[in-house]
Amino acid sequence: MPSASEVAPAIWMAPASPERQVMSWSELARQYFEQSIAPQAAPSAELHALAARLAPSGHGPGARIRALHDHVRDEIHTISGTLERSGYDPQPPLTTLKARRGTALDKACLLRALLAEADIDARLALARGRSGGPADTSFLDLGQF
Amino acid sequence: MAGGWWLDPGVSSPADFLPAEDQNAVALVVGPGEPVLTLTPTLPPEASALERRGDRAARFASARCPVRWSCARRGSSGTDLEQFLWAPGGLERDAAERLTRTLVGDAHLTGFRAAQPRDAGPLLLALDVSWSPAPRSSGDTLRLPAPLLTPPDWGDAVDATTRRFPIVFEGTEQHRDRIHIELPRGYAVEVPPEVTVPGRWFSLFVTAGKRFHGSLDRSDTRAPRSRPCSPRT
Repeated sequence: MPSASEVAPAIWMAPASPERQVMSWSELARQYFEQSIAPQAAPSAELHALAARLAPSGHGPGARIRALHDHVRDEIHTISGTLERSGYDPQPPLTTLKARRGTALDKACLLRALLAEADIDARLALARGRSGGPADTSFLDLGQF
Repeated sequence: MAGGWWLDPGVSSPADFLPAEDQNAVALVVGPGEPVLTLTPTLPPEASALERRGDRAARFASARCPVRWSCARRGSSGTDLEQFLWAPGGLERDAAERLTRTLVGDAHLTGFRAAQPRDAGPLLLALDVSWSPAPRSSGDTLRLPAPLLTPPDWGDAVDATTRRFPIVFEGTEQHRDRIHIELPRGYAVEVPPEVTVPGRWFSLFVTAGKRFHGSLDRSDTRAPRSRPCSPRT
C-alpha cells in the first residue's frame, strides 16, 4: 500500500529564515554538519580505545567495519523518533556510548566516530525511509529525513 | 559513494545488508566532505533470502511425532520469525501453538524448543506434535494433511473487489521452501502434486527411492516496486 503522503493531501511546514529562500541542499547539508554534527565529534581516547579493541588494525577493512557496526547495533538501544521530533542535534558520541541508548541519528554519529577512530573514512547521511513516501526535493527541510 | 558501504546501525540488519526501508531512498550525505543529495542502492532479491527446511514423518492413527523446522536467512528475510522466536522470555506456548498450526496444520502440540543464534546458523524450531489421526488413511490410500507449505497470509490485501490501492513490494526477497516427508513403509506416491507455473507455489517435485523421500520446492522471487494496477476509488 502506498504511504499516506502519496494518497493524502499534506501541508509541509519548516522554520522560517531569510537564508532558506536561496539555500541549496548542499548549503543546507554543509550548514547542518558544521553547526550540529562536527562540534559533537571531537576525538576521544575512550572511543579510540574501543575502536582499537573491537577492530584491530591487523584485521581486514570489511571485518573491522562489521565489528564496529555490530557493536553499535547490538549494544546501544535504539530510541525511535524522527529527526524532526527527536531534535536535529545528535548527542555526543561518547554520551550515546555511555548511556547505551540513542536515536538512529545518535547511533549513526557514534558509528561514524568509531570508524574515524579506526582510520576508516565514513560520511554521515540522512535517509528518508521509503515508508514515508517520496521526498519533495524542491522543499528544503531536514524534517523530511 | 560508489563502492562504499551503506550502514544503518539503528536496525537489526547485518552490516552488509541495507534494510528494504532504506533501499532506493533519498539520502542527504551531510559530511564530512562535499554534501550530496543521492539515492541509496537497491539490492538484488538474492541479497535477502530465506530458505526453510522442514522434516516430518507421516504416521498412521494418533501418534506423537517430532517436526523439525529450520530457517536459513540472509538480509532482512526471516526477521519477523526471528523476532517471534526471540521474544523476551523465549517462545511462549500460545505462539508455539500458532506456529504449529501454520507449519504442520491440524495437530496438537505436546512440546517445543526454539533456538535462535543471532547472525549465525539457521533458526531452529523443534515441535513435538500429535495428530489424531493425521494423516488419514482410507483403504490403501494415505492422505497427507494440508497445508504442506503455507502460503503467505495476504488477507484482503490482494482482493481485487475490496482493494483500493496498488500493491507495492518495497523490497526484494527470494524464498525457498523445502519439506521432507517420510512415508510409512510400503507406501509410495502415486499422484505427486502438479507442477504449476515456475516461480509459483510448487515449481519442482522430486522423488527418490522406493520409500518416498520427496521434496516440494517453492521458489518465490518478488519483483521490486511492482505496481500491477492503478489506484481504485
